[in-house]
Amino acid sequence: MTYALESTRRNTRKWLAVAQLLAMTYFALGLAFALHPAAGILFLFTTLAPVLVSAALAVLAKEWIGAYQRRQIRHQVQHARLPYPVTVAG
Amino acid sequence: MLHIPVGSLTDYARLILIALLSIGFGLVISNLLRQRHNVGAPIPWWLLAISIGLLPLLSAPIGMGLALSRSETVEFCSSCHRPMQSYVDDMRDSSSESLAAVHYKNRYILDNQCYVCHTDSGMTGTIHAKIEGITDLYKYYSGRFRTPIVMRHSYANTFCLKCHGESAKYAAVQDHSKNRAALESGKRPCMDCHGEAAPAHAVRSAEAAITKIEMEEIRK
Repeated sequence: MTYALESTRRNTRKWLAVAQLLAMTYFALGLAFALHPAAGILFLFTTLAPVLVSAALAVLAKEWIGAYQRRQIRHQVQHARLPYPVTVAG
Repeated sequence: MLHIPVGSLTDYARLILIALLSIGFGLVISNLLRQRHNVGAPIPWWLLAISIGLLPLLSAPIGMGLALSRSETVEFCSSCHRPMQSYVDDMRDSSSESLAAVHYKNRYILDNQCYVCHTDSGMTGTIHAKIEGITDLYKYYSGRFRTPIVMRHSYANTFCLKCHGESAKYAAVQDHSKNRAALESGKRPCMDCHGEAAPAHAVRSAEAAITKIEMEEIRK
């Protein structure tokens, strides 16, 4: 079974692309700093890197939680439509 | 014989940082391109967790540590303090007898000479220096500075005394022991007697009093 985020939803796809773009910006900024540590790029890296990483992680966490909740709801709906009668104790 | 290149911890940290960032950049790019060509295909969560979560969380602390370390080098200081390049040149001039040059050529301070001589010791010294540095950077890039540029405060005695204060050579000088309290409190500046040996700092006005137009040209 493939355990993957539901990227078929347009909204999820959009937000995951945003998270990846944020991460890509962080990686590019980090590489620029590591290869050419001038004052300006160091300043940008130290101020923007935590913001970019936090934002990317927040978006990823939000989408992951959303996808998990959707899976749970679907699971509950599938169980509710069982072809045989369900007896409830008590 | 196997030759293992010996470098400082900073060099290794930089190599690790470059490797982590390159892997992350490659993963994100390949992921985005794959999604672009195959719209609607599911994205493995572990791949996203590695490229957006693990790699940034591993590399960010290394990068921050490296940034702190890099911001203490002479090259870094002189990359913004451009009008002070002559002071850096003087420090590296083996024929110069200025205080900075004497400290440099005798290897009294092994590295980060600007930083070591212009900050107080301990954690508070570092924090104070970083706050002043960030303020300077903000003013430099936003252009919110007034000319002529003047030093915020005179050269503090604590910068000298953090190394010299307890040394035998320092204690052997009668003037030092006689004026100990005044020197430690800063009432009597070290530069009163040693100012001539630090000509770079004594002649600051000539270079520091640059106009706003000249500053703009330097920034370009």
